[in-house]
Amino acid sequence: MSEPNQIPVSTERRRRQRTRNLALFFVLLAFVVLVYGITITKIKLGYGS
Amino acid sequence: MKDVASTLAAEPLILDYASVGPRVGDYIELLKPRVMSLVVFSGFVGLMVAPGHIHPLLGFVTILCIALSAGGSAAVNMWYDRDIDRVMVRTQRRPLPQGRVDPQAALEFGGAMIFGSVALMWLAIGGLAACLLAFAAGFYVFVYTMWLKRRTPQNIVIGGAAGAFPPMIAWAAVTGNVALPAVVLFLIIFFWTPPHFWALALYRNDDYTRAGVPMLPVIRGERRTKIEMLVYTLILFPLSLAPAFLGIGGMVYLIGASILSSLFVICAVRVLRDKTHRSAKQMFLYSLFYLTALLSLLLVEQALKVWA
Repeated sequence: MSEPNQIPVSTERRRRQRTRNLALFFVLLAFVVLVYGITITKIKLGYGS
Repeated sequence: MKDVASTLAAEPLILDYASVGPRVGDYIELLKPRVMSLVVFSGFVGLMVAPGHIHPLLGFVTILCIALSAGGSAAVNMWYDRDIDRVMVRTQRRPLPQGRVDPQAALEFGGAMIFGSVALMWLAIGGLAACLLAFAAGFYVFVYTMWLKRRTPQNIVIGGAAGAFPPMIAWAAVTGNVALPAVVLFLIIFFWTPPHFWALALYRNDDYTRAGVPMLPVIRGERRTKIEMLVYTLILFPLSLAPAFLGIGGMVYLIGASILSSLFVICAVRVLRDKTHRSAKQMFLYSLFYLTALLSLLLVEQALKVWA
């Protein structure tokens, strides 16, 4: 009987790489959205005018 | 298409961390999420009790930056302490001692988070809050982790200052300055830290001895540690009441803080009289409840003010 966690290393490596890339993408996306939001907010609050 | 059986036969099945790489969860573990939660909460309280108004988005960014900076500092701390973390039972399952994350990657991850959070704070809030944030992170990494931790039994007394900064940073974010109530919040956490950590060190004494970390119980013995814990809780007592007289707490806070701080002193007395480590463990758990409850009382006072 095979063990439930018998996954080939290459498959697991690819899966983890994909998850890390996805996480990094969302972190960067959140950063860009946040900086955009901050900029808009500060303009609306009258900073720099 | 290759069937599963032939794939399994052709490839190794034991997951060597170096060959498969870290999981995202391993990086999250580097941030010490439980410590971060208390840091975030104390920052949030600082934000709420500070006089004045901050735009909700900028308030969110302030808390986010405090969290990122604390997490980044924790990651750098884990990178530096990976040798002693390996020999301590409490820490040997962390990602670095287990080889789940490459040390260089952990350092870069932590450094990037600190730099990113300070830059974002500067951009969104301003120079003072960003400088305080950078100072707190630098103090934790360079003064506590690299300088004091392995050299002096006063390591967590001085190093504890790093963890006391969040309410002050949040206060600075709202008001643009650092006033007396913010300093008092800093002092409350500063004087809370030694009895909190020494309670842990008392029942983890073997761990710290094995790792060669000169915690107070290791160097000066348990009796001296217990006396100092009591002294710190006695200093904390009047300090914890001070917010009630500085405009950020009221009668509810005063009564609540009196009860909580009395119980903290009683805990320290019990630890002093107890020959076992049972009461030290209880005091450690109570110290976590104590700080959370004390800060929550300030939030209750703010809610009452708004409601009134």
